[in-house]
Amino acid sequence: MSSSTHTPGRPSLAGTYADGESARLHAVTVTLDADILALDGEDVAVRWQVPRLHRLPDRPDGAAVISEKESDARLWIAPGDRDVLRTWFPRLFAPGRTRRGTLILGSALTGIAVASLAFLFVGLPLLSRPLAHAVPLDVERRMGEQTNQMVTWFTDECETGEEARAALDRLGSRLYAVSDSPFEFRLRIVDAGFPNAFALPGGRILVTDELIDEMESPDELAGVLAHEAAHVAQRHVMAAQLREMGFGVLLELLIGGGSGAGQEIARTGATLESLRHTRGAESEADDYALQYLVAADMNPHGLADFFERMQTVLEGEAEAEAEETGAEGEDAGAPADLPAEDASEPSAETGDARNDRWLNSVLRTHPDTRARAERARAAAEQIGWSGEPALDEAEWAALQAVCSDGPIPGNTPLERVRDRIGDVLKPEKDGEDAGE
Amino acid sequence: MGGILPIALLNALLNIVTLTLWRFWGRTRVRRYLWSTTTINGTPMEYTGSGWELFRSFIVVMALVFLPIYGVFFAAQLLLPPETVILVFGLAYIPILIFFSWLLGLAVWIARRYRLSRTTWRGIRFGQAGSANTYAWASVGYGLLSGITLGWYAPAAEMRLTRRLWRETFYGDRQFQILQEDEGLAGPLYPTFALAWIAGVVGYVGFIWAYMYLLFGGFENIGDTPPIPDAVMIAKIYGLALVYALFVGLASLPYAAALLRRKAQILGLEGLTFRLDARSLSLGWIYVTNFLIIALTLGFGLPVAQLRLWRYIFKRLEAEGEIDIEAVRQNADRGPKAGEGLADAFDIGNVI
Repeated sequence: MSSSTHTPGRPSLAGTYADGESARLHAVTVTLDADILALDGEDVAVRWQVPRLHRLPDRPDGAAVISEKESDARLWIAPGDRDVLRTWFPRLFAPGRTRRGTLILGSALTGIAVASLAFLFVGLPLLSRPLAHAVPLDVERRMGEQTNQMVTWFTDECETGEEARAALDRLGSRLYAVSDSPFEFRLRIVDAGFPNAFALPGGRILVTDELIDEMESPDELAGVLAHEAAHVAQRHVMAAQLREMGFGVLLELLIGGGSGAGQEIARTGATLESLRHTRGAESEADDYALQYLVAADMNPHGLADFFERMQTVLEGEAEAEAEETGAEGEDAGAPADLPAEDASEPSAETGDARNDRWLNSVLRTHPDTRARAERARAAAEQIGWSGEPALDEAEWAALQAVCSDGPIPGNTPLERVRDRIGDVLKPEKDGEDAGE
Repeated sequence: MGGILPIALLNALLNIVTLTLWRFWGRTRVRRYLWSTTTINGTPMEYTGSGWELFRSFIVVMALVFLPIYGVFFAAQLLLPPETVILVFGLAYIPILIFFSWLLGLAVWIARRYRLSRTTWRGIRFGQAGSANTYAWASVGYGLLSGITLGWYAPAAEMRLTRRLWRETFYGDRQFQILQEDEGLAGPLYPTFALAWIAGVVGYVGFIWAYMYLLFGGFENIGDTPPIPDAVMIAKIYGLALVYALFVGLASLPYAAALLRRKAQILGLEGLTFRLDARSLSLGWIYVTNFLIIALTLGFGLPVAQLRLWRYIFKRLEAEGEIDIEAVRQNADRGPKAGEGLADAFDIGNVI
């Protein structure tokens, strides 16, 4: 075996060899003898075992690159000798070898991706409810406090008079008594430039002063509060937070921190997914809200009244917008005067309006307000009620007065930040402040 | 370029159906192609890394670095009293920023070591020695200095970091040298940097000025409540931002080209010195066309863009002098077992 003279008739190839020890290149003669590939040249007499050979990607000039497993050595053989290599190493030079590898790996990865998606879109939402109910009440309360602080830091606080406070507490405890909520409801009015109400984890419910201004009766407020109370009792916010947290972490695990096009598409998908579930939770909260209203003997039409009012507001905004764009655009007139429901007539509807309407119904967190109003109205029709308003006139007046004078002076977010930093820089005061 | 297109297309397709999980293997294929089409003295370079190595390292980094960080943040939010949590995060902001920029420095170094150890020529590995931690702290410190000096330290910082990396870089058993003393390391860069810096400031002021003019419809109205921007206004603002970016980009080209030239100039290997003939206009052309390629293909053309920049650099790189190549022995350091997960997490793994 050690002789480098070839048996006549046995084919040999010319190759270039680097031994992986030095950067020197050697010209070698390559011969195959059973399971041994022999490389011979000046200062070179290498024997490679054929089963241990592996093939690297071809060089750009088409030369084949061969090596022994785990070796840095390389043997290059010119493209003209490809036919000989194919007969020598049918396994290494089988056509479509890399393609099959790509197919197997690609399928496996696609499988992992599909399984992850299934978990994200099906498993996680299914799990989020039971998981939310398994979160210790204490932890949820703490998270709620966290969010409440966050809101307090970035919004203005209003003076809530004693009478208003008492009215809020009374509404809260009446709803608490009829719900199976693990948390007492703590209501708070905050100063903000938009009408809305929020349920935080752990029983806090925030209502903006704008929302109360929009309402015409305490029954509407009771309806909205019953809806938010249902979110608290069903621990919807907790479930949503768990879902979004799980979704966020898993998605980032999958796509990495990258900002490529694929990654952005995945993130957009995640946002749409979260909206889908929020809408489900909203409908459910509407149903529970009606149950609470009945049990607490409050006006079951309150919720429907409120939705209808919101619908009017939305339509008003849409009309105002249509008028504005109509005045600027060429064809001022017709569409702006039509009520929103008539806009579904194809002739009157522009492509933009259609898109807007689609966006309104699809992307809005709350299900279509009109549909909700109708549902709530239909359900309320079935229900009797004593006729007693949720609050008496004095109480309602007290609530409406909250925030009407604007925020408490000297209590802007910036001033609170300054105070807070002052507190920390004077550590001896910390103990007293904590009790507050 | 023909060879890269099928790779780029297949990668784009597989990245979509695998939710980007293919990216490790895709990146490996692009590198393998780039390396193998780069020949030095008639012998191509070879990339010996694998997708598995990158994938494994990504999993490890996610599990051992990012999940714990996430856990700490989450626990802090839950365990700290509600009144103090925002404050604590506010005060911890700077340390957290420093921690992440340190992590970024680590990522750069580790990724470079991996790539060099997977690069061979004539069967001999490249390699990176030194300490990731030292490099990471140096990059944090230089970053702070650059900030304090309003950016004026940036060229020196860039050159010092480059020097740190290259003087610990090996080909086989041979170490690269830095031919320039401390003094004047970044000196020749400052005229072009000054141009970029001044253009940056002038451009920014001009941008704000034009933005205000657009938004309020004249200077006399500034202070009124601005009108709600409509589509035309938004298009104008985007146009303005584009002009601003082009202006600053153009003015920064001489600096970018000078930086490339300088980096090659300070480098030596045995008896070899290097020269990289990068010029503002030709480099600018590459940048602009690469930007268009990436933007118009929604990012999937990235490999093509990388190939073009890579080709540009290698075509204009020249080595002069003598080296006894045949005497170079193998690098004893085989490099890390796994890849560059940290860099992937910071999205810098995309850089070739």
